[in-house]
Amino acid sequence: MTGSGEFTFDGTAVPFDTGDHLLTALVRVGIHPTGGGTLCAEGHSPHCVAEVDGSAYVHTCQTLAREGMVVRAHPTGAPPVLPSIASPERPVAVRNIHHEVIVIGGGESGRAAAAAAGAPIVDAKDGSEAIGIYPGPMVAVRTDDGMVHAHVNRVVVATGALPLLPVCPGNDLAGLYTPMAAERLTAAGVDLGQTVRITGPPDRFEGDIRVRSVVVGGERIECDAVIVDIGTTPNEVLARMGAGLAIDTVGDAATAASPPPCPVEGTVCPCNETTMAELAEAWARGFTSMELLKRASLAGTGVCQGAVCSPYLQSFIADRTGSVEAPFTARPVARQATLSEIAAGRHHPAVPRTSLHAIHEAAGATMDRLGGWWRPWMYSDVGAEYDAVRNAVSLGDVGTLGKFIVSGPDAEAALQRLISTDVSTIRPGRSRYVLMLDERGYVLDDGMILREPEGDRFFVTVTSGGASVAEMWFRDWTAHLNVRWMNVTMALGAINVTGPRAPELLARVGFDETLPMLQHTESDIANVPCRVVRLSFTGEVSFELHHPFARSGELWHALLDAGADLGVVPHGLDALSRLRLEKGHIIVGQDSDYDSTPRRLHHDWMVNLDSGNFIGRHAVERTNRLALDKQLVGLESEGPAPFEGAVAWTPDGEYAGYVTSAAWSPTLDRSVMLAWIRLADGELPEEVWIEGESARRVALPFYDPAGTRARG
Amino acid sequence: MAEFAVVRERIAAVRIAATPTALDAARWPADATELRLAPDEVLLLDVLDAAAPEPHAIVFPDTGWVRFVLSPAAGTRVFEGAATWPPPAHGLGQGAIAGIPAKVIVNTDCWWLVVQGVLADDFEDRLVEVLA
Amino acid sequence: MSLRIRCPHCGPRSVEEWVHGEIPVVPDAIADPDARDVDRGYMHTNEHGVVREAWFHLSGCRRWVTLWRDSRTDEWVEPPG
Repeated sequence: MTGSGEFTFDGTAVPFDTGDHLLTALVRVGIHPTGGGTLCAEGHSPHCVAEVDGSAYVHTCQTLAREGMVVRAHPTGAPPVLPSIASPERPVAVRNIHHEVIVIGGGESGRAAAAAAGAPIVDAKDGSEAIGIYPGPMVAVRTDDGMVHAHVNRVVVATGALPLLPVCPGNDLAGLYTPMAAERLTAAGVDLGQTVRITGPPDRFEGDIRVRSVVVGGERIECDAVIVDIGTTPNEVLARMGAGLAIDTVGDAATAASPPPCPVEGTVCPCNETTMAELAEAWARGFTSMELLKRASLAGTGVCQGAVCSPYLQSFIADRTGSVEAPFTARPVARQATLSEIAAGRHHPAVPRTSLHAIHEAAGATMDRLGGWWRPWMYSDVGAEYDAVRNAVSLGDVGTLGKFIVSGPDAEAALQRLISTDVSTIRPGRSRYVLMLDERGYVLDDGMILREPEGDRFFVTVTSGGASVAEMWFRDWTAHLNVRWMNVTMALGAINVTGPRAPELLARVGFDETLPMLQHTESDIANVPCRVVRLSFTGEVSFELHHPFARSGELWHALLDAGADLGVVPHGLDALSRLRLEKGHIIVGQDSDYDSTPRRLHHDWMVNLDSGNFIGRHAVERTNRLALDKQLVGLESEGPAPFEGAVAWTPDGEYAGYVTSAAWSPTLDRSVMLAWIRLADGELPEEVWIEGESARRVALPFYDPAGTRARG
Repeated sequence: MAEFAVVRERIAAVRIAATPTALDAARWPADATELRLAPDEVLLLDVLDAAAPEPHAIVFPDTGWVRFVLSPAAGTRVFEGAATWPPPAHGLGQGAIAGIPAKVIVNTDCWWLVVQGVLADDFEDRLVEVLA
Repeated sequence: MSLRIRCPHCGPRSVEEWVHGEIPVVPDAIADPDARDVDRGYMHTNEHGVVREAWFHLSGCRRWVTLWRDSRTDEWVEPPG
């Protein structure tokens, strides 16, 4: 023995020769990785798995020994501990390949199938192990260089046959080998001692930890090791992955073997330690088919995916019904795989960045993922940002809004259907705040509709993060109308210029028109072509400037430069959420829920039941006949703002609802909230308790109820 | 590696939504590269404007796209490592590359990968990773 | 992991590129939207067999595609009739 290195098994040093698999080196020094059970040396038997360098369920018979490897036995009677190793430094790479046909298995039948189809072969012996077949079909192949994903139209499974493993008392002893395992271990110089080959099903194996004798046909034979040569069963686990996939099975993998004789006793599923007695018990309880027996007994649900038990389950059922059932469905993966291997080729969802992202970062903004976008949460001082909006002028990046252009003879009819207001009364050059409902009358989104001077052309905005859902909704409902949609969400930047001095700032950069509330126009501002929309979310005079994506930076800087002496600073989402809350403006998705009717949201003024059959109209009519059960209301308290989600209680200690938005209002010097509150006996409570503070129900909005500031 | 150099550039483009028949019949400026995004939508690269192919068409100068120019070898490598669909032999293909919606234009001497500017930073990071 | 869905415009693409939607049955006239209200809101038959499905190709052409699938085998089939 040359002994070229060492690894450890449960802390004990184990020498190995170059080219040894872990199992070979272990058996050479008398160690069985799981204590006992028949070894196959082909990666099928579950009896050789161990934790290797932190990864559990590794087949030691398939893993080459390397210097310093740390191998541990799985704990008995419990699953192995999940790996605690940190994320791998590099993800496992994937190589996508495309073929008409791929053949799994390089034996005689596989080579013939490959030659006939002109198809490539993957074979574990060549270092390419197919570990799963997925819908597509897609064959996931593990190689030394990472994963290969083979996208094909047809798969040929030519994976041959598996040795039958014995089921009888004592089949969990050490010293049991399939013919292949015995051959390979002996060839590697392992001395198995006095061996006995049996070719018929054993009655039992006897011994303490290691086998000392085998009883077959009533005859006891003394030995150190048993070579169990009792036949084979087709290795077609890959072919059983996914009904309906284009999979052909050829060669020994396709040869229907008659099931082995049904064992009388012993462990049939070593992975889950299911005994023949437990199978009989499950059968007696009425689980009398392959799939039911599997679920009731757990046989076949373990690491080896039924490699041991599947043929015996067939014979168990055949004994009782007289017919052989097909084996159960298999699911990927057929081999243990690491999460890195499973994750190969996968990516996190990419989060879009607005046209001003780099500028926000350069300004020191705290960026966060909000509403499906990277957005500035705060620049440096949320109080100063808030004050700039209320008392001077400020810029906000609203490029995240969903934005659409709608055109065509049926454009108005399309919007009438999608929107709960009478779109026909929006005149050219005007705009309106609108709701979209679903068929159940629940609020899907809110937004603005602008009618262009052309009359049959509109510009529509929806909530940030809602653009894709809105686009699907629009296209679905209007496919049969003579209308064109263009999603320009990612193509336009948008800046909100807001605050009492906003008109003054805009006049300095070339926009001195008097644009009344809810009107819009097109104008060059700082030489950038803009759609200018007069509206208000902050409660102050506001102009949204929609402009070409590539020109956001110059527009932003021009506005900041021109307004320096006016005190212009940008505001982030933290300030914006306080500003809009003072005005009682909802954020769909934060303040609304999946069952928010306009009436529950206190937005029934946005529904015009005379405006034809908009989506959700009938549901609104139906739900309006029911007693109102809860409503989104405004609450005020003298205490600090509660956290969003805080529970509201009635003065009697009954559950009343919960807070959806809350902030301390510097202007009003108290906390303001939106909350879902239940009605009791048809009445909303005047007072609730939240986090130990009394909160009064008040009319919305909290700030500037007459709206004089926004109208300027 | 110079072989896998990636050039990132903004593109002048015009996007048009119109009826499929109008788009089928339309003739675009000679300099334009036409990407038929959908039966009723086309993206024209490297032009500043185009005539409306029908009265209700939406003609939209679109500055929201970014082009990555790669060698054919690099393009092939990107598809092997980051796309579950095969690249077209020539011309336009569209689908996810590295998890990001992308257009590919396979030219004889170079490949273009076109993505929306809002995702271009992420896309570039992922290209660099797959070409490393 | 990678069910492939055929886009008539873009070609076959992995399921990750798509959003599964409801059946896009839109009445010709808008006289009785209740028909769709009820179907969409409350009626889910979960057919064991050939079903009509709507998929939105989010990473490609961004259009709805209507396809027929055998729910027993995941095979795409030709529209019946």
